[in-house]
Amino acid sequence: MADSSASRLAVIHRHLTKDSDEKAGPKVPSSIPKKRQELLRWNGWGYEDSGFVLNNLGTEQNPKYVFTFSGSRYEIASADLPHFYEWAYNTIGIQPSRKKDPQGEPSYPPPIINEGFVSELKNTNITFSFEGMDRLFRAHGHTLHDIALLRGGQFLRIPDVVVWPECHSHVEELITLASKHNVAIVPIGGGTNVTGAVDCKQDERRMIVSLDTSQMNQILWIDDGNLVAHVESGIIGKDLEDRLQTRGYTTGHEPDSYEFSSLGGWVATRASGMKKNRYGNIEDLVVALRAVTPSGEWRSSGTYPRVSTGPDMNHVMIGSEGTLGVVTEVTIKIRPIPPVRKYASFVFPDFDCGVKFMRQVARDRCQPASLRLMDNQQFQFGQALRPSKGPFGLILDGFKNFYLTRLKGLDIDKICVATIVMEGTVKEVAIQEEKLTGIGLEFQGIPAGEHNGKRGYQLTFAIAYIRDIGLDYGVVAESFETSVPWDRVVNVVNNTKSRLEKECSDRKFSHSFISARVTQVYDAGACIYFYFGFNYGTMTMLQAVEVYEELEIIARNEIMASGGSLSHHHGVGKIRKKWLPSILTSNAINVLHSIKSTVDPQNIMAAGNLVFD
Amino acid sequence: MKTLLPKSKHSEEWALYKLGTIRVIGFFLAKLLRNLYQGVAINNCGVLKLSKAMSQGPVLLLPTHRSYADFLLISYLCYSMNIPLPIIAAGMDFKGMKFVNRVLQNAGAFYIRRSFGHDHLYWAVVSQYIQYHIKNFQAPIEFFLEGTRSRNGKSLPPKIGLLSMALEPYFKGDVPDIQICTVSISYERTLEEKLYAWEVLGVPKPRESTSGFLSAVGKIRGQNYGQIYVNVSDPISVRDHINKRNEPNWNTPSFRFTLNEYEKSRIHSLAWSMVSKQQKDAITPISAILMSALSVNKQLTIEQLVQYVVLFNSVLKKYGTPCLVQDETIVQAVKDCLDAHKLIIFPASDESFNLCQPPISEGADIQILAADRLVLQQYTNQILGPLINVAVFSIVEAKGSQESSDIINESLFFAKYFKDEFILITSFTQKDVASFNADASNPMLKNILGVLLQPFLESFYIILHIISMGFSTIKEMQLQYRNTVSAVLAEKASSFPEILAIDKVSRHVLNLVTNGYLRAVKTGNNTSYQQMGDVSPIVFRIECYLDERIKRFMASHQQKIVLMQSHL
Repeated sequence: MADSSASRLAVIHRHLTKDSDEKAGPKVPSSIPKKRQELLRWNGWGYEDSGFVLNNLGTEQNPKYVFTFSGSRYEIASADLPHFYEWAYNTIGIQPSRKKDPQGEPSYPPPIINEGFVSELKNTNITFSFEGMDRLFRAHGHTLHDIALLRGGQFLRIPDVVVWPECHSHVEELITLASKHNVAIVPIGGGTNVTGAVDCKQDERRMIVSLDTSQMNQILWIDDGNLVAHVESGIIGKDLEDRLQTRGYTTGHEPDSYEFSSLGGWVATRASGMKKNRYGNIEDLVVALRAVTPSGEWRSSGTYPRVSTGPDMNHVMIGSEGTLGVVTEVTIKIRPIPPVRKYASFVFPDFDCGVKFMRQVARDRCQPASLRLMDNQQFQFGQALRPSKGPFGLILDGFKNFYLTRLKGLDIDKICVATIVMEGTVKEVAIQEEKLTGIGLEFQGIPAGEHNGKRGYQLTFAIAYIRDIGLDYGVVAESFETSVPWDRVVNVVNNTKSRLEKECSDRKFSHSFISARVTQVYDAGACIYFYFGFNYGTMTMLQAVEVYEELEIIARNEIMASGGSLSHHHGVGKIRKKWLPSILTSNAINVLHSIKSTVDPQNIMAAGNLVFD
Repeated sequence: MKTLLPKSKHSEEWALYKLGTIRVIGFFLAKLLRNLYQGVAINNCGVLKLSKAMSQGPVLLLPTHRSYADFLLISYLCYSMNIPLPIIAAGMDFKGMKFVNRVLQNAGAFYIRRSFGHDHLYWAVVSQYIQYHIKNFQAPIEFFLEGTRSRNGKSLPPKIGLLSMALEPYFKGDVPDIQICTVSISYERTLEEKLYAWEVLGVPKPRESTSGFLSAVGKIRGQNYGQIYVNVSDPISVRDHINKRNEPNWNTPSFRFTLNEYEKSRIHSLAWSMVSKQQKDAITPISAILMSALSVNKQLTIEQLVQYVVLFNSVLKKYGTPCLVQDETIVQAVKDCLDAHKLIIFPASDESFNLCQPPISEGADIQILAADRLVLQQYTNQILGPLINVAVFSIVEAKGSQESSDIINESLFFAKYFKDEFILITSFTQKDVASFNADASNPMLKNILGVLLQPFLESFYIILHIISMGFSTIKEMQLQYRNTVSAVLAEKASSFPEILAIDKVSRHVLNLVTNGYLRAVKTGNNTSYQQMGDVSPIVFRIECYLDERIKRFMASHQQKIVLMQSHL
């Protein structure tokens, strides 16, 4: 007996040393440092150096306000945004005199220390930190609630320690230690969730370890023959893409957060990328995966294209939201970079026509890599963000306006815009474009050029920064999404907007903004993305957040009553838990619980998402 | 197999809009209205809110139905107020009228059968048609919740079918919301007053025909029908009243949507609250007060009549909607009203008036007497409708119950058995009793309301007697009721010839079904009713409000019947 366990240990040791042998070369560092606060904004979205700024170009008596975008990372930062202030003033009631500055670095609740765990942790090679800002940075995602607490509130419970495992075996070690000392683990990737998924449960009395996967960021191998890559789960989307592109590949997975979110996070939330039409959603991209659960390893049987071996056990981990284990390695499909990427756009007289166009594209199965439909509010918003480059800019705008409204007889307050990304060979793209133009014309669409399409996609990443500037001036805002069968798309949009408009007018908000976008098309339906914000006037920010949450619940109920789903790709986390009992059968809930009690009987993976406490 | 759709050319049933026709109708209608009526009073703010609601989403217009003039009037109002002409669900019987049917159709009416509960295809076609208009909301959808013209001046229990059809798009999620405007139309004098009286006596309704219509127009032309009052309610949002279901329908495509039990029950209660609203919002015509006062006091002077108007108005202010009169012009308004009704209200002298109702005398045709009284009742019911709770309070109090707990107890009884007869009847709370004591202290008022309610109690009493003797179908029941009431009136056991009307029989039977005393058994096209519980406790309770004569008569009548049955 003693003999066999000794030999087992020897094998494990050999494996471990072999592992480190394989990674002979130096590790490629992540583009985001361990101390994220050095590069990223600690109390808002994205890079510290990027964001919207409101400048007064006039004098104090005679002010002239202009928005700009700071930094040099994004296209939008290259010029002033001369039209945006007017939009912000009229639509959402921004008043420069009423700036609300966020609080400084807050005090941190003292950590709960599990002596046994900590002393054994110190004996490992795993780096860790008890520093307040490191802990706070990993105590939240990017819900309005989280950001509001950072800006003007207090997290009552934050992780007690942050650990940075660097490989699969580190994670195994950590989870074994945690099980031994009964310590709670909350895994975190990019921390960009919008569901409260990594927020600490306030009633968790055990020590909470934030397991930061960011140092597990290596591409372990690339298989050119089978077009798959084996990658550690902590890699940030942008790093993955950059490194694959040097080899001539892409994953094609591009969620709006991909600059900051991680591969493991995508798997754990069932993410969706904007080019899923060509490349697939994360569940289509994952060929095999490896994870650590408190009761042992969880992995696929191999990198097979498809198997029929009972229910797909990968799907226990895909969408598990950190409640069952830590995803450590993923084998993901890769594709050669397409030779041509082309943008296009169509203007439709109204949202209905636009949706009919989308529906027809899906019916004919000629979806380009990405296809989105912005409603009028979002169209106007996009227009407000256009730069003006010299006097020519305006003239051109005026001409376009004239063309659309006078010559084509469109109502500028009703039109909506479809933006398109096509990828492939020159020939493929040309065929796609011809087909799409045909369908567009059939539904009264007017081709609106490549430039408009391109700008729509460029803005995607910059728009994520807009909430922070909103909060600076008393506006709370958030987005939420749903998936809907085709025949309910227009209804879900109309009903949800109408419902929120009424709730806003009942509450006598001075300004509110509700907008919807169809962001994904499927054979059987579409994904709809809503933006909703309001000017909270004399309320405090935290009160406004409470009201917002109330309204989001009303909106979600309306969405579901009109035929929409609970979530398309954001996930459940903690904020949508309460609906699960009404959408899952008790049978399904019991199955989830029995999986949990099998892989994690002690509830070490204590993120508390989905149906779990 | 019967034909699924009444005509193969569907276009004959559906609404068409021809602006030319509408202008022509508008012209003639304006002429006709001007010829017949002194004026139409409308609440302007209601109309403005209605037109605003039209811009926000689908709107249902639910008017009261007291006269043919109703939908012509509403279409004409919309036409003149620049609101899209409503799509009107009209009864199939109008379709039989040559030319007129086309005219109505071109003005936005479409024809549906009065009942098509089991004809699924017909139901599907009509609901598609209505829902198409809801979803496209170019125009308000108008139909009559009561299902038919009320022949007795008070609201009828609602029919749920069309309403649930029209609301389905909301529950399905096809539209964010549906707004409902009720429209209460009241007339100082109804065009069909005589006709209704004969209809409720059981004389068959003449088939709608163009010649009948023209001759009717000929007859009424030149007569004075007084004022019309139109009260458009504030739009009511269905979304504010009924939540949509939240639980997703896991595998049901939207086209297979059916309303669930919860939704059906909420639509049912919404329908009831809408008819209650219609009844409560109806502007009381002055004639209703005059006739109520005269039917009890027989002869009154102008001054006395004016006093009654003031008295009733003060109570109606709280429990209904008072007459539209100003203090300065009230005398003139009363005179105008008397003028409109000069066929039944005679000047007894220069200053005092009485009704042309001779007392029940030997040999007079009981039917004619009853018809005259029933015309009168169409007006007095417009007082009793809104003030029913005060009336119940009055008779309970008059019986000697002073304790509020007694009064509340009795009100429960009336609310239960007269719900279908009086839409606004409720059981009382302590607060209600206190407010009746404060608002309805005038003995004359209480006396009048008590007398107006009396014939309804007698009818119910007789119906209960007949039920206790066993019967099968409504038709048989109505026959038996007529025979019994004829005997009652011949023996002078009742002083209310109007109880000869048979329309309330079916309402009471349905109410007793709801309350579990009767059970409906359907065999083919016939519905027969079986007794489930002993009605004698109800008889016992109603008895103490009745006149000795009728009680004595019914007791001996019953003995006779039992004797006859034993002989057989």
